[in-house]
Amino acid sequence: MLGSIAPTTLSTAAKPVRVLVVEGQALFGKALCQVLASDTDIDVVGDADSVANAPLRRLRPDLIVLDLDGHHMEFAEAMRTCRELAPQAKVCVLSTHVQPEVMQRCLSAGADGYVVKDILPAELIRAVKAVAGGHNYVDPRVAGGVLKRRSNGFGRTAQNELSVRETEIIRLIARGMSNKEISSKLHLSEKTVKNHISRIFAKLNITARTQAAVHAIKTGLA
Amino acid sequence: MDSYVVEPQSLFVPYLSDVLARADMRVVRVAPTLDVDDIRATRPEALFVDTDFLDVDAADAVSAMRQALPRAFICAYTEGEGARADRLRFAGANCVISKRSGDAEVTRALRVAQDRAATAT
Repeated sequence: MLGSIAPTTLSTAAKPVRVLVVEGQALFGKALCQVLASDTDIDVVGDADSVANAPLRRLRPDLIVLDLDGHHMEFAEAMRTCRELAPQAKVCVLSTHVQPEVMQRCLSAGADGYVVKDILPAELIRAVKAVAGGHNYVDPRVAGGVLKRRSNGFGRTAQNELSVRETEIIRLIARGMSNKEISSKLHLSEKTVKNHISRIFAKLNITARTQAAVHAIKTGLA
Repeated sequence: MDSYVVEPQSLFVPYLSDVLARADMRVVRVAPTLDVDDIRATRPEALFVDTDFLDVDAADAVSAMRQALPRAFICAYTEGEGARADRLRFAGANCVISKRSGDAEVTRALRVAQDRAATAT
């Protein structure tokens, strides 16, 4: 997968790229639209607060800018929905996570690009154009982390890797949040949170939240 | 109202400034991280802080800002709700705004909180 990452490769689109913004934070979503619409090669065709509420079939976007953090559903499920309802669309993930493993999971789930939310406006436009042009784009800071981990021989089997949602939950555990607080923050039921935590424990071969928190801190997830 | 914004997401700042302007908050300085000395030196009338990107506890940060500028209007912008929002209020925030709120809701919340703060002083 690394071979296909081209952080600086750009393409020039002949007609404007039709972009749909899916962002859970309302103001930030509007800000994204404003930044993207400032470029004449980009046509922002709509915005939504979640994949579930996005009119994907009707708008037929060329590219979806997809917020990783504000979903009411698993990221992999959100990706499947995008692929099913807008098979032509590329997906560029927007995230607060700089951890390479989160980016890798997004790309594994089918994302074409991965940018971190503190990206500069001009760089976001470059990223969107690159992905629309058929390239993969990964925030250079995150890509650098992947290369470093590979050169260190770091690797885990896929079955032991935490999903994006599990990663999100273990980060919140490390912040000292209770199941109730996590369920409220992620808009999940407490039972779902408990199930995720059980899977985290099984994957990491641990039995306590403290161990999960320590793991999160040691591996840079928190 | 001269306002100081703590927000690391630079692509968010122009739009945020427009929204704040609708609540009579003119952005005079933007900082990507919390710098209490800089806040003290700038002496804004209002502070708007994105509490989800701080490298210190959000309530501690609000408390530090309140200590630095006891009379300033402080607005905390956060994903947190319930007890987490209450902690920010208890630490000294005049207003806690959820990141799920839209433009009109944010403007309305800021105006209501400003009126309440003005009445209290």
